[in-house]
Amino acid sequence: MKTIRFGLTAALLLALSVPALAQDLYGTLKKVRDSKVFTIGYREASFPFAFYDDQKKPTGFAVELCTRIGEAVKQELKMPDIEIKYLPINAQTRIPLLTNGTIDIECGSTTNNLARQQQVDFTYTFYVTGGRLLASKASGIKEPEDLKGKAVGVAPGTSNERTIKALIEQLKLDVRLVNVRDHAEGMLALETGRIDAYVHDEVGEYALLAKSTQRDRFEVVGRLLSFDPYGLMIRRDDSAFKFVANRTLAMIYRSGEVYPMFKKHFEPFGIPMTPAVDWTFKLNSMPD
Amino acid sequence: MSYRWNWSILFTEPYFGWLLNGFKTTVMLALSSWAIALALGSLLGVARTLPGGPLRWFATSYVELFRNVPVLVQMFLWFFVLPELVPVGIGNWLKRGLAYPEFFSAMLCLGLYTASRVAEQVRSGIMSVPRGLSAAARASGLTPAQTYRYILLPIGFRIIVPPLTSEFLGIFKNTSIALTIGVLEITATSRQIESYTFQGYEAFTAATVLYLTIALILLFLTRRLESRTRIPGWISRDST
Repeated sequence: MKTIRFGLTAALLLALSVPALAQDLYGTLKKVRDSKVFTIGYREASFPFAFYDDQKKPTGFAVELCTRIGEAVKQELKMPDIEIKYLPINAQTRIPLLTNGTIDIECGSTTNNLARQQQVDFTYTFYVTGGRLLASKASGIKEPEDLKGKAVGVAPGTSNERTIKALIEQLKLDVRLVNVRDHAEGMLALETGRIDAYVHDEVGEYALLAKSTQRDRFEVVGRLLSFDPYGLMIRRDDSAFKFVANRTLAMIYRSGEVYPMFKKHFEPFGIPMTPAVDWTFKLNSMPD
Repeated sequence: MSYRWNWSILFTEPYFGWLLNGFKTTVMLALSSWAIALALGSLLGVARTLPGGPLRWFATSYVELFRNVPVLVQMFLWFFVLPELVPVGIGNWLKRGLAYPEFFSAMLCLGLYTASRVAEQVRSGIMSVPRGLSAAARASGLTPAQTYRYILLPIGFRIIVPPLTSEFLGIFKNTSIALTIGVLEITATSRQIESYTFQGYEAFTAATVLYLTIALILLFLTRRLESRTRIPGWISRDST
């Protein structure tokens, strides 16, 4: 009798809980289940994180991670027919498109900071870098202290702008800050001698150098000026989806799969693995 | 929509100060470019109505060239290409010697572009003065220069006040293109606030309100100018 009652209760519970599970979906997972589409927003020129390959298809380290997260969402929902779509975005459109649900995750090189966390959420860190100086060899600039009396370029609104402004204040340097629209124009300003040095994330500077035709005239110099952890941007208050994304990242890190992936995307730009990046992967390899 | 609104961001430092500086830059850029545009445009417009010769040919080529190349492209050419074409010394001065190279390039670009549009207005103003008036002026012994000075220009300019005011409003909106070469005007400032705080809707709303305020104030002022300079019986607007 007891076993029958137990069996019945268990069956009842099971019957109740299966549809309940499906209904409990919320946020991104619910949206993807209903629309059968998972949309990845990618930056078009964030080398080597998100950019176009020879066939004009989005590629890069972050794009590959995002695609894996998309696959994980399919498995989680047990819906293999979900379509993974890619949508190009830029610095101005990423927040509106993420918050209004056009894209579900942002792939690029967005720094995870607390001010931004008031508006959006980030997955586990997938890369760490920091601001450094990209200077012309002829300028003799080796450290930020050498910037005295020089013209320094920076893209307004970047975390590098904050860094260099604080540093100029702190070191009481007489520097002329020159605003450039984006990093490509920063490189152009450097090449045409408009500025002596450009402040940008170290990894971005290596990417700029790799693409420049005059790369021998410039070098990345000086100490790390800031600490910028990159995260994949997702909507706030969406723990269920964040869990799926983070679990995917942790598995890629823990299995060591991340190392050949890193090599594949970073080696063409001549960017080595740093101890900080290695530790980022290790620290975020949460066990099962 | 999972956006978290925070309007107070606009009134907290440093963002409020940035907006204020952006506003100042926009106004200064527009006014200085307008000075160039009005002066040069008037000369070119008069040259376009001359009976012929190299001056007229030059003015026509100028107008066609500057009116038909997009401002965005012109901005880039003035800022990045011009310093590379001139001798190294002048190029370096343009790039490094000037106090605000971006502002200077933007002022030059907008001024020269708008001059081509002003020239067309001035030309049409002069052309719309009835032929009989200038014939009468010549018949009563005025020289061609005097005909322009006393008959064609005073009437022509008063006719084109309404279209000129819309060019003036236009130059304020075109200043936003200067952000592509690093001038921190209103639009660039709102982008900067967006990147720092991720509160883009608030920042761009602030920009919209600022542009609208400028436009409404100018509209009010130019309406007064229009009614003061209107030649009674010449333009039929609100004369019914």
